[in-house]
Amino acid sequence: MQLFNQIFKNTKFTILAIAIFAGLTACEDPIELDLGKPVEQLVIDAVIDQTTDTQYIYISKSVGYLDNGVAKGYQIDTVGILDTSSFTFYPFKYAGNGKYFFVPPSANTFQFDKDYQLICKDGVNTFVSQSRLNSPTTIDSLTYKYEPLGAFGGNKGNYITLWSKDKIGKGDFYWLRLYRNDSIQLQAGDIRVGIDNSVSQGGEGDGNLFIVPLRGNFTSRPWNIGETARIEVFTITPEMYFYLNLLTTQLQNTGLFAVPPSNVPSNIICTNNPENKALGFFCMVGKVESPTLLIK
Amino acid sequence: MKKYFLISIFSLLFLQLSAQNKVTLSGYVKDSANGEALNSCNIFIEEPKVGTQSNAYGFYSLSLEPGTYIFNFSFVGYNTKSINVNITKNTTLNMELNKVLAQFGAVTLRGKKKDNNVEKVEMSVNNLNIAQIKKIPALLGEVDVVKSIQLLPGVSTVGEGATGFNVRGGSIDQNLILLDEAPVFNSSHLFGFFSIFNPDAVKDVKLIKGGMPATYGGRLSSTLDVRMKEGNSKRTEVNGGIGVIFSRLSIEGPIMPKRLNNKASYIIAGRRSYIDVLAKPFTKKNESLKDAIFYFYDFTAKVNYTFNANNKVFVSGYLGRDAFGVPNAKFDWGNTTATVRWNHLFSKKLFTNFTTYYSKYDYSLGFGSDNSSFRWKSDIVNFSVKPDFTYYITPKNTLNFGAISTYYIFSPGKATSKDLTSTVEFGLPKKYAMENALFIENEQKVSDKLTIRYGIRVSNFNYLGKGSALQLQRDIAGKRAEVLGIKTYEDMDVIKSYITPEPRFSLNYKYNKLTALKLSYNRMAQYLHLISNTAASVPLDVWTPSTNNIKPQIADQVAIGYFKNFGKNIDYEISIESYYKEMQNQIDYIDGADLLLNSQLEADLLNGKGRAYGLEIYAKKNVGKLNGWVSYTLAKSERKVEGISHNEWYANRFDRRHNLNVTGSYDISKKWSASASFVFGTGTPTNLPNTKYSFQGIQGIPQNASELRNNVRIKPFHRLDLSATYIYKKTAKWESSWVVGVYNVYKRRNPFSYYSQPNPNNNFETQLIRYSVIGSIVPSVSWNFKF
Repeated sequence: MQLFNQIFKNTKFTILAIAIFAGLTACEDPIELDLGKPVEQLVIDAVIDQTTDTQYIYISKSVGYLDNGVAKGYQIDTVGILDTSSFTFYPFKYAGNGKYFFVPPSANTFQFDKDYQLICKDGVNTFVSQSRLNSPTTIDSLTYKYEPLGAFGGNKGNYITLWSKDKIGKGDFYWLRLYRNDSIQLQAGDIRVGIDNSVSQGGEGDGNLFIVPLRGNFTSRPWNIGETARIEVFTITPEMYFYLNLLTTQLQNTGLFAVPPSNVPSNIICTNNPENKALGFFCMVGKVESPTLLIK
Repeated sequence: MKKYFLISIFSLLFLQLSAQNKVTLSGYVKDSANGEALNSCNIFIEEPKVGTQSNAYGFYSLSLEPGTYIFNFSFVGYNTKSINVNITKNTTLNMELNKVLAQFGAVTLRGKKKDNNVEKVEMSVNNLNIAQIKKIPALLGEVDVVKSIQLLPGVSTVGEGATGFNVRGGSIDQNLILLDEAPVFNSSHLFGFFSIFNPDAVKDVKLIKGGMPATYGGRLSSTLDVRMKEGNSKRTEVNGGIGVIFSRLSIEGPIMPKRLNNKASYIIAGRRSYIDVLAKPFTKKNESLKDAIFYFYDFTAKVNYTFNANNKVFVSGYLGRDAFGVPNAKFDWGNTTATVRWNHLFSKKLFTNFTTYYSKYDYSLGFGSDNSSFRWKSDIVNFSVKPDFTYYITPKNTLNFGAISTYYIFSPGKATSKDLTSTVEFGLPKKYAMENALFIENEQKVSDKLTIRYGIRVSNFNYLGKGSALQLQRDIAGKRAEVLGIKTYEDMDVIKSYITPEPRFSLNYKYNKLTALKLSYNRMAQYLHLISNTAASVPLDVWTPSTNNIKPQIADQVAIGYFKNFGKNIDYEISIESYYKEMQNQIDYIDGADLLLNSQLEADLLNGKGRAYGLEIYAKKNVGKLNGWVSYTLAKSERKVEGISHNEWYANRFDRRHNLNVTGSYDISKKWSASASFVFGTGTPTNLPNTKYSFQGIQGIPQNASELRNNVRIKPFHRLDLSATYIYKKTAKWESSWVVGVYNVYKRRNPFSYYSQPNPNNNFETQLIRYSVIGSIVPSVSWNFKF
C-alpha cells in the first residue's frame, strides 16, 4: 500500500476528479461515537542507533482513542539493552515522564551485524524483543530544484531530492526521516520507507541509486527560500519496515479507498504471558544523515 | 452414485426420444418495428397444451405430431399474434410482433410474458429491459444499468460511488459481468459513479443470482448478462442525449438494405464526458490544475449479417477509457472487448451459437516530469471460444450442452522509473492460465405441474508457465507466510491444475396457474480473484489466477422460492425467496498486506470460508400507468479466517441486514411521466480503534484492543430520488424529451464509512470522521432525442 499511498494521498487529483466531475460534495464530518471502555496497554518505543549520541527508550500506556492530549509516561522496574554475543547488559536510567536514557561509552558499544535484545520488566511481567543492527548506507548529496508544475501533484515550488545508493545485497530496508528547519516531520504523509532502491518489494535495483518515488516526493508542500532541509537515513530491520508501512497506512486510511483498519503489530512479547501484549517497537538502526541544505 | 444418477437420467431422456415421429416448427421472433430479436417470447398452443420460448437470439423450435394447430406468440408490451398452421413436415415460421401502442405518449414497458414468473423453471433471476431501466431516477440523470440492478432483491453495494455490486453476500469480483458474452473486468466509469454500459446500445439485462444454468460459470455469486441491441434492420434511427456529465449518440440501421435484402444491420453508440471543458474556468486559475485531464468515454459497435436461414453472424465490440490527472500525475484505465458470434442451425431442432471473444482491462499511471518520472502499467487479457448447443428434443425436453475454453494473460504490474541519467524497469512477470469447461443440462417438463432442470458443468483450470511457484509455510495464523522456496517452470508447463464438478439443479412445482414453488441448488467454482482489500474497489486492483497457493473459490447455494401472480390481468407478481450459501477458499489479507508490485503477494493472502443467508421479497407491477417494484432483503454475510477476529465468524464489510428498495413510475399524461425511488439499507460494519499511542513522536497510532474485525456498524443508509420526463415533441419521425431529476431529495449525508485520523490541525488530537460521498441534493436536467 505504500506505493498506492504515495500516488493517491500525496496527490490531490483523485478527490478533485470526483468532486469536479460529479459536481458532488463529498463530506467529512467529525462524529462522536461510544467506542467502549478503553483497555490500557503498555507501549515501548525503542529505536537505538550505533552512534555515541545519548540513546532513549520511552515507556507509556495507550489511552482512549478520543482522549485528547499527550500520552503520559510510565515508569517500570527495568529497561535496558542486552548484547547477545557478549551478554553485556546496558541498563537505561529513568529521566522522568516515561523517558529512559543511556550514553554509549564508546563508538564500539553497538556494533553492526550483531543482535541486541530489549529487556523491560514491569512487576511480574518481562517484555523482550530482539533486533539486528544493520550498517547504514551512504549519502551522496541532498539537492533541490524548482518545479514549475509542482512535483507529484503538489503546487509549484522548490522540491528536494536525496542522492543516495542502496547497499550492496538484496533486502535492505530504509527509513528516510525528513527535517524541515531542524524539526522532524512526522505527519503520516512524511513518513518514507524503502526496500533496496525502491518503495515496493517488486524492485530489482539492488545497489543502485534510490529511484524516483523514493528519492523525491518527500512532502507535497514545496520549500520556501530560507528554509533548511536535512534527511536521516536509518537502515532498519524488515520487521520495522512493515511496522512503519502499516502504521503509515493506518494514519491516513481515509476516504473511498480505505483498507480495513488493522492494528499495527509489535515485535515485543511478554515472556511470562504472551496474551499480555505490549505495543510499540524495538529496532537497532544504522544511522547516516545528509548535510543541512539551505534553500536559496 | 452421481454417475449412475446422470446415466439413468439421460438414458430415460433418449428412450423418450427414440419413440417419436414428429415434425418441427421453428423460426425467429422479432420486433416488427426495428427487427430486434425478442428474447423469451412465449410460443404456445392450446391443444395439446405445449409451448416453448424464444432464446436470446429470438430462435424457437417446437416438435409436434403432424396436424393443424393455432400457434400463439405472446410477449408483454406486444400484441399477441395467433396463427393457424397445418404442419405436415418441418416448417419455418418467422414471426414479427407489433408493439402495443401506449395509452399515453410515455414508454410502455415491454418484457417477458406476464406469467413467466410462475411458468419458468428458473429462479433467483431478474430481467430488466432498457425501457424499465430508463424509468428509474438516476444520479445526474444518467441512465445506469449497474445502479438499476442495485434496486433488486439480494443486491447491495458498499455505498454510493463504490464500484460494482454485491449479490447475496458475495464480494464484487464474484459477479460475472458479460457484455455480449465477453467478460468485463471493471464495470465502472469515474471510480464507480457510472457504469460502462451505454443505455442506447443495451437491449436487455439479466441478473442470475442462483439456480445458475450450466452454461454459465467462473464466478461464485451471480451472472449479469448484458445484451447489446442488434441495430434497427428496418430503418436508420438516431438516438441521443445531452446531460450534465456526458452526451451520447447512437446510430443504427440496415446496411445496404436493397443490395443485401435487409440481411444486415448495425449500431454504433458513443458517449463522452465534458466536465473537463465545463470545469476549465474554475481550474485555470490554479497553476497546477489548469491543464487538468478529467474525462471518460466509451464506444460500442455491433453489426450482424444473416447469410441464410441457417447462418447468422454478429460482430460486436466495446472500447471505454477513463483518464484523470494533472500535468505531472496521470491515471487512466479502461476495458476493451470484441465478440464474434455465429448462430448456426444444424437442424430445425439443433440451434448452435459459436462465440469467440477477446477482452482486456488495463490501467496505467504515472507521475513526475519529463526529467524525472515514474510510470506503471497492468492488464489482464483473455481469449475465449465457446460452442453452445441447444437441442429442442421435444416440447418437454430441451437439452443445452457445450464447452468453453479461455486463455488468460495477466500482467500484474510493470514499472519504469526514469530520469535524465538512467531508466530503471522493474515489476512482476506475466502469469498465464487456461480455463476450460464442459457443460450439459436438460430442462424437462415432467408433468403439467412439475418442471426440472438438471445438469453439470465440469470446469478445469490450469495455471501455466512460464512462471514460478512459491512454496509457502505459515507458522502463525493470520501472519505473513514464509517463502521456503521458488520453483520455476517453462512455457506452457502446468504449474497447478484444478478440476471441479459443478452440479446444477432447479425445480418448479406449479401449484396452480398462478402459483409456483421453486427450488434450486448450484455449485460454482471461481478461478480468478480480484486482489483488493479496500472498502470500495479501485481501478488499481489486480486480478490474479488460482495458483498452487491460491485455491479456487467454491460456493454451494440452495434456494427455495414461492412465486405468485395476481390481479385482473395478472399485472402483479410477487416472489419470496430464501437462500443459503457456503463459500470455500475466500481470500483475505494479513494486516499490512502489500498488494501492489509484490512478487510474494501470495504470502500475504489468507484463506477463509464464508457463509451468507437471507430472505428476499419482491413485488412488482409490470404494466399500466403505474408500475415499478418493491424489494426487501433480510440478509447476513460472514467470514471466518484463521488468525482474524479470534478465529470467529465476523460480518463482511458489505454485510447489510435490511435492504428496502421502492421504485415506481407513473404516466401522468401523454406528455408527462414521473418516477421515484427510495432506498434504505442497514449500515455496513467497519473497524474502529478504541485506543491510541505514540511512537517516535508519531502521534495517534490507532489500536483496536478487542482485536475484533468490523467491531462497529455505521448508521443506516437511505435516500429518495425523483425525476420527471416531459415529452416535448413526438411524431413518427422525431421525438424529443426532457428529463429533470433530483437525487438525494432530502439531502441526507449517508455515511459511506467512518474512519479515525489525527486532527490535521493538531496531531496530538484524534477524531472519528463520517465520510459521505454525496452530501447534498444533486439536481440534473438532460435532453434526449430520437429520429
